[in-house]
Amino acid sequence: MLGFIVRRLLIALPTLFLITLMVFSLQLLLPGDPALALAGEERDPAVIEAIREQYHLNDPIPVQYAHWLIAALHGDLGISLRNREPVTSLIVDKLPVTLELAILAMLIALVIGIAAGLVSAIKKGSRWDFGANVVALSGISVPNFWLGIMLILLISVRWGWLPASGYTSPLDSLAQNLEMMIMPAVVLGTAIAGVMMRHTRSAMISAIHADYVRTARAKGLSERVVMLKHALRNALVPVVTMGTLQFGELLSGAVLTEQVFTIPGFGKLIVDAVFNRDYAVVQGVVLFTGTVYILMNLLADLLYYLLNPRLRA
Amino acid sequence: MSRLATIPVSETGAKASPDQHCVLRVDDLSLGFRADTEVLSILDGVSFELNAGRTLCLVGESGCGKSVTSLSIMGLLADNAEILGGSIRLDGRELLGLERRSLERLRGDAMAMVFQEPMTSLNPAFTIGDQMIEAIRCHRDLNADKARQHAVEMLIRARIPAAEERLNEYPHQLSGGMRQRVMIAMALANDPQLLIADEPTTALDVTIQAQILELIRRLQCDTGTAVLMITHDLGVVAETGDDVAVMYAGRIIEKASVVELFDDPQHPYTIGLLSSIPRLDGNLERLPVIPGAVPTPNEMPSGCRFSTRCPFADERCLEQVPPLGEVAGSETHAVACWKAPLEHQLAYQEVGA
Ligand SMILES: Nc1ncnc2c1ncn2[C@@H]1O[C@H](COP(=O)(O)OP(=O)(O)OP(=O)(O)O)[C@@H](O)[C@H]1O
Ligand code: SF4
Ligand SMILES: [Mg+2]
Repeated sequence: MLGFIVRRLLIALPTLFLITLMVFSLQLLLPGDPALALAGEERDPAVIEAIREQYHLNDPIPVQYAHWLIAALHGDLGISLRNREPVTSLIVDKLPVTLELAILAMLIALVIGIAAGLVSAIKKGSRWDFGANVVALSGISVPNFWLGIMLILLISVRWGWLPASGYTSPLDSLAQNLEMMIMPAVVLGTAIAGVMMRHTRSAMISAIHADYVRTARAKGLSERVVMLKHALRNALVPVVTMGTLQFGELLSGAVLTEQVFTIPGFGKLIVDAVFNRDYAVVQGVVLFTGTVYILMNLLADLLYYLLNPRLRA
Repeated sequence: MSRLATIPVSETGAKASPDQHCVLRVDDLSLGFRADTEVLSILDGVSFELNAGRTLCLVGESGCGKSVTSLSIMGLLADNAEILGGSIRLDGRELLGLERRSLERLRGDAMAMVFQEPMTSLNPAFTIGDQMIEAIRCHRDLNADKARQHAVEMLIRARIPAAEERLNEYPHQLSGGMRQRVMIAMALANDPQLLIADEPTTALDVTIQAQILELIRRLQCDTGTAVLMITHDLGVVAETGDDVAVMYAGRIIEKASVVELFDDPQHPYTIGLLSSIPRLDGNLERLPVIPGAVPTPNEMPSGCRFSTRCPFADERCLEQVPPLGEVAGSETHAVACWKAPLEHQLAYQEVGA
C-alpha cells in the first residue's frame, strides 16, 4: 500500500517538474521587458534597474528558475501586476468558488450519469436505453457555453426563475448562492454525466454477463441485489476513476462556463489575467491547477487500487 | 454436526427418505434460442428423473445442451431462450412458468448449482465470508454471527484449511481448487435437495479433479442431496454416477445405470464414446473414434440427430426420430436407436482400432 503510493509519487514528480519548467518559460516567451511591465508608469532607469535586481531578472535563466521555484515552493507565486495582490491570495480567494461549483457539478454528474448508465445497461436495447444514449450524446456534444446561454435565455430572461449571473458566498446566503450556482453546475454536470453514463453503461453490460453475477442469481438473491451489489460494485471501479479525473478537470476552472455566468472562480481569474497580460497570475493558476490535476490522477490511481482487491494482495 | 439444529428445515418440504423420493423430474423439455427471425431448437424432448441421494450424470460432447439443461432447471437461461414445451418439477413442484420471486426463493435453497469456472464464479470485489454469509442469510433467518459460524462450518466440511481466516480473504487469494471448494460449500450451505454440478472439475488439474469429485460424493453421503453431475468425461461418470443419461445434439439418446451403460452400451454414439476412453494400457491413439462433427442447430437432421455420423444409418434413420425405448431385460436401460439392440457392436469397435 505504502509502496504503491510512494511509487506513484515518484512517477508524479517528473511530471510536476515539467509543469514548473513550462510555466516558468512562459514568462521568457512573453514579448516585452517584464521589468518595464512591473514598473508600470515609472520610467526612471534607476527604478527599473532596482526592479531587475529585486526580481533577479539580471541572473542567468537557470538561476532565475531556481529563485522562482523556491519561492513557489514557499507559496510565493509572485505579485499580480494588475492589482498588486499576491497571486497566492488571489488563488485562495477564488478556490472556494470553483471548488463549490466543481462539487455541485460532480454530484449532478454522478447521480444522473450512474443512474442513467445503470438503467440503460439493465434495459439494454429498450426505449430507455435509446433515450439515455441520445441524451448522453447530446450532453457530450452540446458545447457548455451554448447550453449555458440557452439556460440563461430561457430560465432567467424569459421565465425569470433564476438569476442570470453573479455570485453570492454561501456563507452570506446559502439559498441565494445555490440559486446562482445551480445553472452553471447543471451545465458542467450534464456534460460529465453523459461521459459517466457511457462508462457506467459499458462497464455494467460486461459485469451483467460475468460469471459471478450468474452465481449471485444462483444463490437466490433478488435481481435488485444482484444488480446493485454484485454487478454495480465491479462496474463502478472504472467509473470512479474516470470521475476523479473529471473532477480534476473541473477544478482547473471551467473557463467558458464561469465566463458565461460571470462566476468569479478560477476560470474568470485566468481569463482576466490573460487579457491583462498579468503573467504572474497566469503562471500561478496554471501551476496550481496542474498540480491539482496531478494529485487527482494520483487519487484516481489510489481509488482504483483500493476498489480492486486483486491489486491489494 | 450441529448444522441441522441451527438450520430450520426448508419450507419447500421435509427431506424425505432417500432412494425412492423423486427430487427432480424433467419431462419432455424442449427449448430453443431466438435468432433473428426463427427459434433454433436446442433441446428436444429431454426427460429424466433424479431421486434423493442419487447422482445422475448427464454426459455428452461440448455444445450438446448440458449447460442449457441445467440452467433451465435453475431458471437462469439467457433472455433469448424460449421454452417450447415440457415440464421441470422440483420435489413435485412445477418450475417452468414460476414467477421470478418464487424461483428466487428456491434458488440457493432447495436447489443449488456449482459452475465450471471456479476462477470467475466468485465476485472478485467481496470476501469469501461476505459471499457465503449472503447466501446463507438470503434464505435463513440467522443473525450475522450465526451465519458466519455456519459459513465456517461449511468451509470445514469442504475440507478447506484455516477456514476462519479464509472468510476474510478475497477470491483471488485462493487457488482454483480452493475456490471450487468454496463454491461447493456455498451451494450446500442451505442443505439443498438438488445440487447441479456443471463440469465442476473441467477447469482444474487432474489431481485436484479427483479431490473435488470425492468431496462432492462425501458431502452427498452426509446430506442425501440429489446430484445432477454434468460432464463430458466418462471417467467422471464411472467415478461418481449412479445413473447416466447420454445426450447428443439436444436429445437424450441413452439412459441407464452406470454399470449397465459401461457393460452393455446400446447406442452407436455411446459405444463410440466408450471406445474413445483411453485404456489403462495407455493406447492413446484410439481417442477420436467418432468421425464427423455434431450438426449445428440450424442444420439438424429431421430424423435421428446422430444419422450424419452413424455408420448404421439408413432411410428410416434420416426421416424418423427414434423414440427412447426400454432395452429388453432392464427397466432402467433405455435407448433411442432404430437399430438397437445392435449386433454390430464389435465391428464398430474395429473402426477405432
Ligand atoms: N444464449 C444463447 N443463445 C444462442 N445459443 C446458445 C445460447 N446459449 C447456448 N447456446 C447454444 O446452445 C447449445 C448448447 O449449449 P450448452 O452450453 O448447453 O452446451 P454444453 O453441452 O454445456 O457444452 P460444453 O461442454 O461446451 O459446456 C450450443 O450450440 C450453444 O451454442
Ligand atoms: S437411429 Fe439410425 S442413425 Fe440413429 S443411431 Fe440408430 S442406427 Fe444410427
Ligand atoms: Mg456447458
